[in-house]
Amino acid sequence: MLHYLVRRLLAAVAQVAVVLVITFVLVRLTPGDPVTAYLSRVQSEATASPAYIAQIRRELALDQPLPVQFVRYIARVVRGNLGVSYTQSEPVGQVIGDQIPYTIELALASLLIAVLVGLPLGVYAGIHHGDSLDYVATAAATVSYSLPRFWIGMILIVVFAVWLRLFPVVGVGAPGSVLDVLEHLALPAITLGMAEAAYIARMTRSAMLEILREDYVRTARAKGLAERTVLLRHTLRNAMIPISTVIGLTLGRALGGSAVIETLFGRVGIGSLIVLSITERDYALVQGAVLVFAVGVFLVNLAVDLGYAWLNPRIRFT
Amino acid sequence: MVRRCLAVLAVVCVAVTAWPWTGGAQQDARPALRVRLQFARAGGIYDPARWRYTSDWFVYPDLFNWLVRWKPGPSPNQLEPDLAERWEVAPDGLTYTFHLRKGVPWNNGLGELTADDVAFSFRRQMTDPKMTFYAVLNNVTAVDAIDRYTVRFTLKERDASFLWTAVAYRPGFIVPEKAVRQLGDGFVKAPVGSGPFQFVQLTPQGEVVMRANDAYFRGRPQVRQLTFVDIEDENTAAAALQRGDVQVIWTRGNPDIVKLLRGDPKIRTTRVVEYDNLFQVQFSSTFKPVQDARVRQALAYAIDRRVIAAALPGLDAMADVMRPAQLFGGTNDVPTYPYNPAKAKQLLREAGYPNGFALAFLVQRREPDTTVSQILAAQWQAVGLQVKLDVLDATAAFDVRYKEAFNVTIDATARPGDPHLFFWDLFDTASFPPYGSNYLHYTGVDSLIDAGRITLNERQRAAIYRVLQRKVMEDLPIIPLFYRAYVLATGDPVVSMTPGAFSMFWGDTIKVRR
Amino acid sequence: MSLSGSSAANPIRAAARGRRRWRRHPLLSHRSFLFGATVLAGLAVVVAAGPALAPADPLAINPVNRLQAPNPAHWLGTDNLGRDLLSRLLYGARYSIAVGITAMVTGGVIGGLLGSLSGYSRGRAGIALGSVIDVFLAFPLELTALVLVSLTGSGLGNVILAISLAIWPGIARIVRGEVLRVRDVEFVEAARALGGRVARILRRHILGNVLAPLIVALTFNVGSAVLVEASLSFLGLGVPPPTPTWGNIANDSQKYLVVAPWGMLFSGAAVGLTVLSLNLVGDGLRDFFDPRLRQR
Repeated sequence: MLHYLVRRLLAAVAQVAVVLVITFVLVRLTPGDPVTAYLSRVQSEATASPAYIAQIRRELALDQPLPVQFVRYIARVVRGNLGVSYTQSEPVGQVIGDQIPYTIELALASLLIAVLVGLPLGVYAGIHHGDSLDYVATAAATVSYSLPRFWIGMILIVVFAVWLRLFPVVGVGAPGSVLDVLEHLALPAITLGMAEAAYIARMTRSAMLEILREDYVRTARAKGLAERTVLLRHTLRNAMIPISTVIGLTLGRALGGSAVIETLFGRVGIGSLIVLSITERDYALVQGAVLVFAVGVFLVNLAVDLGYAWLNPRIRFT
Repeated sequence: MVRRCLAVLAVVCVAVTAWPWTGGAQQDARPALRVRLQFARAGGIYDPARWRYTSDWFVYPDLFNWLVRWKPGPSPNQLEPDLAERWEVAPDGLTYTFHLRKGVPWNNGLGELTADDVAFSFRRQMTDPKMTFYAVLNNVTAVDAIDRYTVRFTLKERDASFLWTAVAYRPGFIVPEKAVRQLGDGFVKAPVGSGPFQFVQLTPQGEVVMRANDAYFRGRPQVRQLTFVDIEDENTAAAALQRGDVQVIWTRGNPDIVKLLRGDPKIRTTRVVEYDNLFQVQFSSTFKPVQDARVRQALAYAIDRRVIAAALPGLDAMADVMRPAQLFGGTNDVPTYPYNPAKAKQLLREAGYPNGFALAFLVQRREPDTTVSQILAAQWQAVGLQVKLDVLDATAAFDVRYKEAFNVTIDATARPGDPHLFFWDLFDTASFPPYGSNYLHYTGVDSLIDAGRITLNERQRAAIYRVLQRKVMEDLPIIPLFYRAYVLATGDPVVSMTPGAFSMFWGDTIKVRR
Repeated sequence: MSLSGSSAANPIRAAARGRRRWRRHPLLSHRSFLFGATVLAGLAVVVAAGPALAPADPLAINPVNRLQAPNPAHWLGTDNLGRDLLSRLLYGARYSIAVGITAMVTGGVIGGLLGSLSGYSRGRAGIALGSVIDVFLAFPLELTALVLVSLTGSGLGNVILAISLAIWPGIARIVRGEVLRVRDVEFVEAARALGGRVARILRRHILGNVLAPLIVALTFNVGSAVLVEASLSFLGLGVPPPTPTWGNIANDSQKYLVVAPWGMLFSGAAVGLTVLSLNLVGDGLRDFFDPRLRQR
């Protein structure tokens, strides 16, 4: 077990390193740099002589060759210093720390909706395979995850926030008030959660179908066990293995969709932070946010794999 | 027994009705308002001398004061006293003396605002090259506190635009010397000012919170607290206003949202046209065909502004001239280029392009640039050009312009109040990129720009600028398209508010329903 | 329903034999597969004949007619510049589908190659390649494409490249899994023992078994690619104006959502319908190729 964990951790470090290198290089290859972003905003109303600009670039070490800049950055990261954000005028770690709870709460809320809606639906459809409800549920699920998420979000905004005025349109809500936060979380979480609920429902349904066909279920039925026992003890528990994998992956996908959804609903969070910092060429913030994001995704994947192995004792940590 | 009960009841009734006056006197009944920031929130620098982000500029006028300020309103065309009650300009135009108001308090109880604070506020920007407006103040040789309430500025050269651009605008905010020295870099996050509001905090969600400064010298603001929130999308901003999530929004570029808001009886809207904010076509000195004035004129004749107006109905005001007559230094008596595609094709033939030419059109990824560029591209294609649109984000687009690696682009130039900076930035030889916006490297009106700057007599200045504009409208180094407009929309409980131009949010002009 | 058991040595041949049994598939996948296939066929016609079908020039600007609701002159209404939405959607179909298919092919080729190599190679090479796939697999699809296009700039080539780079790991993983599964099957061992070359073995024996899941994965990935392209264009990172793509139309219409939702509605529906059809076809194909279903 320990051996497995160590191997996974080493792999994760290597993977994060690759992400970091790619981001580092790409963002510096993009036309413009933080100084350009600043100049584009002040539009010749502020000091902008080439000598001054060159001096700023020297101070920010932007004139050094890429490998040198990279080494300096890594040296700082290893010591725990992610740098200072130009756009927020604060340490990157602090900016990310301030905003990451909002992405996490969105991802978890979406996951909750996805599971609460998708799981029962999938179980029901799997059990009542073939009848009209199964057909309707499957059709609804397939349509759900075929629709673009931003589209679902816009429809929800127009109907529930603009026409019916039931929910607020933008923001994350005052942190002190639970009700306010939930109000602001509702529509974005539903948007992200609906597509994932559909996915979970489909996976659950097919997992249920698979297992209901298995021999040991037939045996249980033949033994005369009550249907409910059959379902609960044998079917559902074994179905949880592939289902939990899907749930874990859903969390990863909710994180991935956060950029579009956060932008759409005017929420702060890592996704919208990445988009904003790219536009402003805030190198330190882009790298820091992508790094944190990559680490988060890898942690989720690791948890999924560990959970899968734990649930399925037949898997050895090969 | 009954009498005693009645007596107790009476006492209770009196107590209940009297309570609001006793306890309520301590309560602040003024509303707290939420305001939509007009720009994407990147920022958090609240020391005005280190200004970097447009969204921060929005809040400075509420935290600080100038010596002299523009009269709040949609078109800054008049100066009025702010911290200075009166001022004098020496006949030679090289000395400005300001007499300060007495008894203006700093909002942290640090004492009174004096001439030393004024001198400090300017000197620190003049001596440190890293300060944002270091170059703007390079005409000022000295700022001296003559006595506790008198400040004198000494200039190197005469500059008729000095009051507008240096004193009443970017570098002109006055900060407390003691607090800046004490807090050092901490002042950026915890500013102290004399304005109608006092900075409270920048929340992690990116909201800027300010509370009323009841000791403000113009009087107690009618709102208790202002919170600026960032809403990117115009639809969501309008919806937030209608829903009551915010009470004040500025909106640009979406005429249909404006129509929607106008139709809502609970919302008051005011349209503000910024006649100093000119949206224009710009040419690069590196693109051969447009070096010929006839080609530029042809492109101007090919533009049908009615189509642009139809695409932005009720919003921006179409412009045939650079600076219209309603502004100081403006005139409508100049050559113009009304829609005439036949004339456009003829001019192109004369210039040697009977089959047109290929044109790469640099566009920033935002409104109204994308809408307008598609219209212009279609109209230029109709006279024989082959137009390709290059849409880039703001930073990448600026990088391309900075390096002069484009053919044609569109952009807005906004220089409020005094005409000098406007013409200097667009047409002066000293404004070739990267110092300014003279992308075509036009050199036709340098002497007129200089003359306009050093002439103090207003009538003479106006005449100079008229001549200048006739020349630039002949040579057409840029093509004027329209003056930008926005709409200020307010909801309950705001009754009225004076709209500001150029990112000025006049928080102290807000009047609320009692 | 049941199909006589047949060895799954060559699913293509088995499929041919199973065609007769197709009618006896569960009603559910039968109907939905047909529905999906019909829509896709219609879409193919639109893509092929697009310009001929469009009633108006999709680039004709006429702001006097802006933001009209569906009416006899403009069946789906107009956008903010007065352009006919129906024509733009028809033209947009070509771009969106082209991007989807090209990205799928590119991603599929990369993913297929790397996946099969990784699955087939033994020892450290295989594991190393597998790790590489896992690294890229961990990137969330949409965010990857978003970051790539933000950094490299918009434009047809960049968008296709970004989407391909986002989807190839998923394909690679499926291919790798299948190759691993069949690698050690006896007839392959036999072939190897008989001295066959790697490429030939891959092609002859493994490819046949991998092909089915690969086809299914590719079908679903076209759907993903179309969705991602729509999201990218929606954020303004896709093909530049005035070229119509479904995502571009959604982006343009988003600003006018509250007053004129037609553009958003129809472009989103177009994407949704296309992706839905692709998913239904993919489902049908998967059920079709599923050896267990065939054995019942």
